[in-house]
Amino acid sequence: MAEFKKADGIVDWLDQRLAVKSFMKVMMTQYWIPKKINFLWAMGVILLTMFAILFITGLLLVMYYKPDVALAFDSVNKTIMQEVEYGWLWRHMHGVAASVVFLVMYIHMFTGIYYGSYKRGREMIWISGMLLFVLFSAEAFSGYMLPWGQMSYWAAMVITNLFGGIPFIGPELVEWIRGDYAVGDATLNRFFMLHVCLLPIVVIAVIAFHFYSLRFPHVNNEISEELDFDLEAEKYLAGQKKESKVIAFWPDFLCKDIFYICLFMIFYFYLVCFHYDFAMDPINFDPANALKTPPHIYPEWYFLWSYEILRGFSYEIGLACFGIAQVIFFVLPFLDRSDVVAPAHKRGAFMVWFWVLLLDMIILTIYGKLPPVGINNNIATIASVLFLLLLIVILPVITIMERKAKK
Amino acid sequence: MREFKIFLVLVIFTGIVYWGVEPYAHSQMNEHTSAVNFDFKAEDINQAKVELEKAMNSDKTGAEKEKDIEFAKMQLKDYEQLWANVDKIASLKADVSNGKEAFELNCASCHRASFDGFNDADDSISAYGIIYPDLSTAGAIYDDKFLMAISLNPALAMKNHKKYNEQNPHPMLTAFLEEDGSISEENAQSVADIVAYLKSIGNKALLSEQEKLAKEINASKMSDEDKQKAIELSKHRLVFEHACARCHDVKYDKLFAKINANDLAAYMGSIPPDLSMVIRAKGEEYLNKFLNDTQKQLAGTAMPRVGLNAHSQEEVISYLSAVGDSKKAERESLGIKIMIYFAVMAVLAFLWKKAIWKDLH
Repeated sequence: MAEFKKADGIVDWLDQRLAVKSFMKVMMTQYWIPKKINFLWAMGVILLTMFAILFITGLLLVMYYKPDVALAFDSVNKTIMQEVEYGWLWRHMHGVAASVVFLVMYIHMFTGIYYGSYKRGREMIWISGMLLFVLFSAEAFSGYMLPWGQMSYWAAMVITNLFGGIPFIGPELVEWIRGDYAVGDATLNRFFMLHVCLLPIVVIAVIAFHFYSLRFPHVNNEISEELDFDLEAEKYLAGQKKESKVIAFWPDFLCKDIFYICLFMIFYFYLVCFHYDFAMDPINFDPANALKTPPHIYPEWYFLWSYEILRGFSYEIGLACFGIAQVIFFVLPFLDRSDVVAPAHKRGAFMVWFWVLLLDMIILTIYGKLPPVGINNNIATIASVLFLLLLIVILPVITIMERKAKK
Repeated sequence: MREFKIFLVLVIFTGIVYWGVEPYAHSQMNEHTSAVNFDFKAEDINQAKVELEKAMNSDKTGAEKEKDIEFAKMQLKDYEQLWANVDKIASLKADVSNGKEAFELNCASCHRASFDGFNDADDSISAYGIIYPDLSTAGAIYDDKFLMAISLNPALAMKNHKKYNEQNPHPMLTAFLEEDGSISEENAQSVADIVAYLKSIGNKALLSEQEKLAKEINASKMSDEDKQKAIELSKHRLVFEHACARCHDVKYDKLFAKINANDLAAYMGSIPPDLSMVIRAKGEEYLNKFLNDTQKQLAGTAMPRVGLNAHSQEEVISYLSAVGDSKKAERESLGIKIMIYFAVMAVLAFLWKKAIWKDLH
């Protein structure tokens, strides 16, 4: 056992027992971040803030929510929205954050792609990030079911039905997921469990892993420069803060992020209080009705691009392409065959590839919501084929060319 | 400067996605319809023309298309005739006391006007178990010309005429029209008088009910401000009760349809929906258009056009907002405060950042 002295204060007392000073150094004051970054590097902390909002408002909502097909709709729309003090606020914050968090995630992802932050030692950051994306998607889908409105019910019908297309085990799998032959009380209950228990636990664990995976390769920077972090940290600690190419996570980096979070919160609360329909579809304020199919069934905006890939082909092929689209970004670090780590605007063909990919995904998103009639179907097919080609064929080809050109 | 450019790119792309999945997608998914119009003559003839055009441009072929066009042409002709008759009635000088007599003779066997002592209506004659509306407040709630139109041809006026024909007549039977669809001077005068009579008692009936409710509220132990609000809401609710609550529940306000659900289902084809959250589900604009002309907004719906005048339609929508979106005022006032809070925090955070980064640049 270590030797304990009489502490000269609360910090010292804690430090002797928990090593809080070293802990703060490791996690905060001597956790080094490159200086040359722009506001896109604030997205990570904004995401963490959004997750905290989702977690806390979620806990408040669970206090009054009832996972029962006979009670769910009214527990949300009557009890929470109208009877509980500020219940509407927690629900609007939760619903809008669930949608906005995807916008920030997409920005975070495309920042990573643009600056090549998934390469050369940063593969695990990318993969754990993608894992978070998939987990958030599962959270979003399971959460969307809980108010038990028309879209909750019919989205659950359509999405669980997709698993029926898996060869051999399809129909049994659908039944197993639903817990019944049709979407019903058992389905609602198990998705409630997933949404409020299992998935949040896994999400928290993967967020911790995502941060951990950053520690060794460090955060990338705006010019994708390879830094000697030890050397730069020495400069910083020696007082040459201006010359050093790094800053401390706390307070240097976070003070900037807190400023960005405040700005973001103005935008977020504008959406929460004045412009929420995009995140809380009006159709979902109609109670679930198994006998009345809504004229248009569509997923939330952040799933539209992959949903459009599903619709872009005949059923079996569409399902297979949809499956590929869901996982293709996981292997991005290995599809990019070039060892050049640089921002896209320094990489020629890759730059073109980046913007084409972004535009293609936007086209998929927009057409994913339109009714599948006439020319819309052709556009779906073309954009879907282009998406798959861009990732599976074109990216490896242009990055192999890039590697060869460098030699 | 560079950061600003990046931000601009972000805003533009986010804006495009938003525009695509919200306004643009909804404009593609929902049919565009003309604005609310309380001139029912213009509204109906215009809409009949739109439907005729649709029938002529439809993808259908052969006999089916011919039939649709034939129907649409008939419909246009019927509406033109109906509203021409109404114009004729509206131009007459009406007499309230004659109207009361005509009401007793023509209407009182099915309809009550309990405010003025008409209570002899026989509900048991309804084929569906439907309760016929008490017309005490009809003159205040419904459009005058609509009341004339419904006296002549209820199915056409309520726009559920596609459901009815000679074998399956509309449950409201009227006999003011001649065989050829024209109206005699005598009958026109009767209808004019009846509507004048309904108007003469309508506002009084509504006012007396409002006063009764206000009295109850004033007797309760609420603060004066709450009393004011409750009285305001009771006025909205009253119009809704008269106009909508024979068929629709609003269970969040403990308001339940007066007609038995099974009878309603048999009559309408399905149970009319509970309207507690309809303001969030459909929105004010949709509801306004829908109430104004049900078939225009949702072709084939079983819901009749009930002929509310502009004021009572406003009352109904205020009521639905009060029930389904009760926290609107709180949401909007709190929203501004939170945004101001974060704006102040942003300024403080920026100053703090500047202080710290002084050493770093």
